[in-house]
Amino acid sequence: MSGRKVTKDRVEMPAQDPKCRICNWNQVETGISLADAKKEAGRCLQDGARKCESGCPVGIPIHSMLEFVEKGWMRRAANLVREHNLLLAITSLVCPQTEQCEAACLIAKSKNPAVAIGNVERAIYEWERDNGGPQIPTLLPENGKCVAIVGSGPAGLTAAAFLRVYGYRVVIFEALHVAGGVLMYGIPEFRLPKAVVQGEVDYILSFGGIELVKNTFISKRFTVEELKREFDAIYFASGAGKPIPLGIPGEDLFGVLTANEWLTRVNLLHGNLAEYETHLPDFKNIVIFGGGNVAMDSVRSGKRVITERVRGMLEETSSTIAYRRSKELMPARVQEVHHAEEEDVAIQGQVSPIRILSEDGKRVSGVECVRTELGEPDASGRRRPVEVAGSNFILPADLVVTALGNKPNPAVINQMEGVRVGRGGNVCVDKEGRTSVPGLFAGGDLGRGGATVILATGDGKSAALAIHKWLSKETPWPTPEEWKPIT
Amino acid sequence: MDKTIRELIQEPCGVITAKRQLAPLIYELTVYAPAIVHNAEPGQFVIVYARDGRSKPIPLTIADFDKQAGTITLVIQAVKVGTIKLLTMNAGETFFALQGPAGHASEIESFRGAIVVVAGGVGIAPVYPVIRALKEAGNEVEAILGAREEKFLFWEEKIREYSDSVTVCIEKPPFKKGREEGLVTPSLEKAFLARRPISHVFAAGPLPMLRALSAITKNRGVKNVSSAVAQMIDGTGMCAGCKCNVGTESVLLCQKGPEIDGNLADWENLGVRLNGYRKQEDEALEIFKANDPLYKVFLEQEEAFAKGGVQ
Repeated sequence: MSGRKVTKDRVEMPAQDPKCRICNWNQVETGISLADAKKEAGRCLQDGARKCESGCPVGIPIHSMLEFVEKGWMRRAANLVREHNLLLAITSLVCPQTEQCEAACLIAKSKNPAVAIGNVERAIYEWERDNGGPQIPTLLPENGKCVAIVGSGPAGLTAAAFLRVYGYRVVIFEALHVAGGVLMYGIPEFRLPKAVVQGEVDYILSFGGIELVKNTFISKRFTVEELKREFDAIYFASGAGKPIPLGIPGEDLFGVLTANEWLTRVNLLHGNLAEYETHLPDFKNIVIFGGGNVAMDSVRSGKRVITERVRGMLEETSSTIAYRRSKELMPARVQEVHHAEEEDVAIQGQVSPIRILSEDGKRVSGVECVRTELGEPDASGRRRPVEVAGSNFILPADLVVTALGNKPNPAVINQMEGVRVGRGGNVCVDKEGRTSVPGLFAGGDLGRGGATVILATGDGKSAALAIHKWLSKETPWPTPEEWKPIT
Repeated sequence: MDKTIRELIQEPCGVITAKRQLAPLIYELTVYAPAIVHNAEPGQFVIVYARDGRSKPIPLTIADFDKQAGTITLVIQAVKVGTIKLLTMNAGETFFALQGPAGHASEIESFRGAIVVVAGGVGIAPVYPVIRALKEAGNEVEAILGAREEKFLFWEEKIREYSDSVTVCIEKPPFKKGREEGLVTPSLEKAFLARRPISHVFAAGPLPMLRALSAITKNRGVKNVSSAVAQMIDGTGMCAGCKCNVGTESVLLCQKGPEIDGNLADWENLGVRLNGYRKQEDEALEIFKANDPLYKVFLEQEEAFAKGGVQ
């Protein structure tokens, strides 16, 4: 297959017109055709280095995937991806491909656009969806052992599926009334349709032998101690659900919401729709603090809610992202920032909030902010924002959403007796998801303290294998000296 | 009959087994929820999604539980769309979702000194298991119950069973013999005049009442444990919508509460946050009353009660 030439004409992902899409909740990116997917897949140089694959946290054999698509072997392509990544539909939509596989693409090294691997992956999913759906992998016969999984987000779902493949019965405990975790309550419909997530949940449950128990917050309804008594192993994947506050005066005013609350009220409880009982605050000027995907999701959801409310008369409204570092340093996916700007979101870099203001002492009316300069790099390697004295100004706001990230919920960790906890409040795990306590595995954001869907998926997969090796007595639990935490 | 987790998860959770009207607009539901009863303790709450995926999460303190029968008791007042719709559900029906137990259990021990428990309105329900636990821990318990009118009072007998004395305060006439006329606050003041020392005041009820009580306990330097309510979504600490200032701390009611130190609570801010959606709620209620057939069902239910007395 070698000897191919570098081509520049990447098939671009078509998107809804910005003016149109802020009036609906449909997916912004509309997907590429099968013919385009084949064409794009054909751009892969199929060189021996397979650099892109080293950029993939779950190790999808991307070159083979692209080759299959190019040849039109779509079922083989779908099955190949699902062998490595059971959440194909989800990751194709939310993976930061531009920083992972596509960043490592050999074509990109020659300053040409990388193969649009994510877009091809999405085309595979759409073909699969329209052609009988995903196939259930070969499942080993049940071995009589049962594993408890805490949390039904990407890490928990993936671990459950792979454990079932290895022959285990699985019980997944989910605190909310729907499965999917952050995929359901966090990421909005226009980026990740809830039907896609539900489809993947239903697919995994259709394996048989995996039980989903909703409305069950482990630590309260059942304790970790009780789980230990009844299950052969436990995988904790309860995510990072404790929002980090701004820590400034006025954060307790009505109209200041965490991104978790704001997105849950919109995505999960549909507060924007009249026939649903949940409400949203009245607002015309929304300000989000933060620069990650959650901040982008929050502001763009806000934009759509305002547009519905004012019936498109957007003149007297505003949607603003305020981030304390520069715009270029925002951790959000490139596409999300681009889409937000297209949707007329004002992105203000180097802005830090000082206090939240209220005219009546009850509701938020604005935020006093200060400009920042970028100083020396901090522990994260990013340049630290330093406040510029006297640069204070006021951002008008009647809805403030804080999207500064999340830490793991301490409630469940407090019951994981003897487990080592990291400085960020995360559970320390080794690369196989083993904690410092035999029989307790953990991963996803609970181990990482706020990362990506694909990393959580990778965690779930490696933990499933580690659980299998431990329960089948293939690999003994590491001694304290052997245990090498990576988080 | 201690069941295992594996058994409990096979059981239904959230089936209404009995529904009884206690007073106008106030109902008592017995709900089969063995998985919740399993670890439930006084002071904890549940979150109900009543009818379907359009329902809002409603936090409700567990008013009683029966570990043998696997049931919890909820006392609910019909106030807004969510609670009215919930209360049109009948025995045999199952909630769309029921989460819990959530929150921190009441911290009950054998205290030095008497305990005064003050409850107003539907706040009488959540204090019942607390009173029972206080009594079972060997405390002297004095209960002060408040109701707007005699007809809104409920569970007086249940409370008497575990209290050393009960004072009932009624705001509006007609007054029955033996009732105190007016608010609960003078009765709390009076309780302090008795010679024995009071170690704690436990309180549950409407925010203005809790606030007024805290002024008294603060003044007297007596510990005040108040059961507060807030807007809640998940009840696990994720949304932080139930945050509340207690002294210099910002606590989540779903984690450290619903019982908080009433002497340190910022009642004003709690009120602002609790009532922030009032405009939207009132509008939704008007639309519901005008358009939803369930409202007619509810009115008929109330009418039947008015005619027939306690069902």
